[in-house]
Amino acid sequence: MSVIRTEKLTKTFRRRKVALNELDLDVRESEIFGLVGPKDSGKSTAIRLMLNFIRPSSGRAWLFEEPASGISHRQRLGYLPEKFTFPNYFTSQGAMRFYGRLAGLKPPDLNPRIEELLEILDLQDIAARKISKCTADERQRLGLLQAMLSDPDLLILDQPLTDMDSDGRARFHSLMLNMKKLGKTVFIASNVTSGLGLLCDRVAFLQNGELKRLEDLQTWNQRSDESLEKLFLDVFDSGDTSSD
Amino acid sequence: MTNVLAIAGDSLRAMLHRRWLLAFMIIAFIVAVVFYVVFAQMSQQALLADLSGSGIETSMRSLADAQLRAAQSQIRQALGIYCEICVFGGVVLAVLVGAISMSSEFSKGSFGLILAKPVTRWQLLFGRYLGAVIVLFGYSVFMGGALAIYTVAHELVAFPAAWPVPWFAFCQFLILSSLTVVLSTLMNSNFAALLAFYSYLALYFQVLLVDSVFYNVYHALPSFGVYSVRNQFINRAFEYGWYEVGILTLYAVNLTVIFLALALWRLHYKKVG
Repeated sequence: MSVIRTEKLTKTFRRRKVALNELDLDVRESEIFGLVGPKDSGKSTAIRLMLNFIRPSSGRAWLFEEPASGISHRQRLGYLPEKFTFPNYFTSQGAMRFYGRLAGLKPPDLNPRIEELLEILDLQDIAARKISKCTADERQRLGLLQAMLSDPDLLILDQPLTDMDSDGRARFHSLMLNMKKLGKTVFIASNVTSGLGLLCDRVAFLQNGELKRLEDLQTWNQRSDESLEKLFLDVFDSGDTSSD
Repeated sequence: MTNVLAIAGDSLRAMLHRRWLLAFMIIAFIVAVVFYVVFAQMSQQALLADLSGSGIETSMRSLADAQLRAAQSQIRQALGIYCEICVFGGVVLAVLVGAISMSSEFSKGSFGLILAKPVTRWQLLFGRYLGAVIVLFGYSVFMGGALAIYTVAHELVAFPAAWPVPWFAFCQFLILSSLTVVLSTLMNSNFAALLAFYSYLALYFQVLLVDSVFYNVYHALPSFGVYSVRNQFINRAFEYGWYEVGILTLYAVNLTVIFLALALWRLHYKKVG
């Protein structure tokens, strides 16, 4: 089953700036999918279109085979935006309770779930701390926590490694692999390829809103010794448009 | 409904954490205390005038009655001034809470976190607005409570027109805050607040506007004049009945629903996150 599917998804902003041009993607169940590209290549626009935060100029997107504008699939979805702020008046735990309630969790299930995720993400020490007093790394991990609260089948993460320290990145890596083992799908948008090579099953390369290449990393690793970083540079230097 | 209440609670919490709102509450309290003292003195004067009128000759009684009437008139005027100050303060509050209830969150990206959850845009709008309404309702209750305390504690002359004042003030706040919400989805929230505030002030400047192009704009704005009952404190010209109160409440609710529907329509197409 397709977890995310887009068909000629296009977004043109004012002054005719094409942010995304006819993107065709098909993200399958239980895979970790990477969408990589330089800054302003259209990654965040693609995500916002998938989440129906903005309207496409043309084309369509589906999540769990339901149009992106639907609401029922949101219960199976976790999202970490690239830029976000939690309300400063909350404590870490209070903020998670708020987002958990919105995700449809009832207090008897919510509190143990928060405790569990705080432990997994090594955030127990800041549970009672005000958000305003958390570091950027802690806030990023809290962002990941709120995305995982409802034990979603699909995680959409926009630049998840931003502001995360090396320890956090290692933890993130094992967490994502664990999610994959549990049959969950993870969609990661990033402008850095570091670490994604060992994590992603497939990677799509996006530049100037165009899909340049879609690579299955398992077959890529079998036929090439080159790293994902090298592939990244090759794709964007050569203007490659091939896909598997 | 759970989502709406959770968002309303968050909206309320966000507003109560703003320092200007705290300052506003303190100022409202100080004004109420000052007027309490003023009314205490005035009611004492009225009582003295009343007492001096009893047990004296008829020729002197007319003078004492005149003093009593003057004292009561002063009390009515002071009550009117208090209501004016409260309503004006409430108008400022309504415009501010309306302006911040939606707009401030768009730029921060926190709406993206909420809308990725199973929350519809109308739930978000209604929840945020409900938080603003609770603040405004609390303010109106405070105003009504202060009026009740003044009239009961100081044995002031009962004014039948006094009871709808806090309710009418609340009706005005509903209209203004919803107007500000819809404007804030269309433009910068500061401009939205200013424009909404203008719509209220135009009530006072309509005479000046007659020959200008803005007079047409004035007619397109909501009417707040019908909610003003300040004159009743001075001359007690007429009293509102249940029918008038009902019709004016319906007018306020009607306009609020229209403005919220417009805001929802705008929000439907607005870029998030």
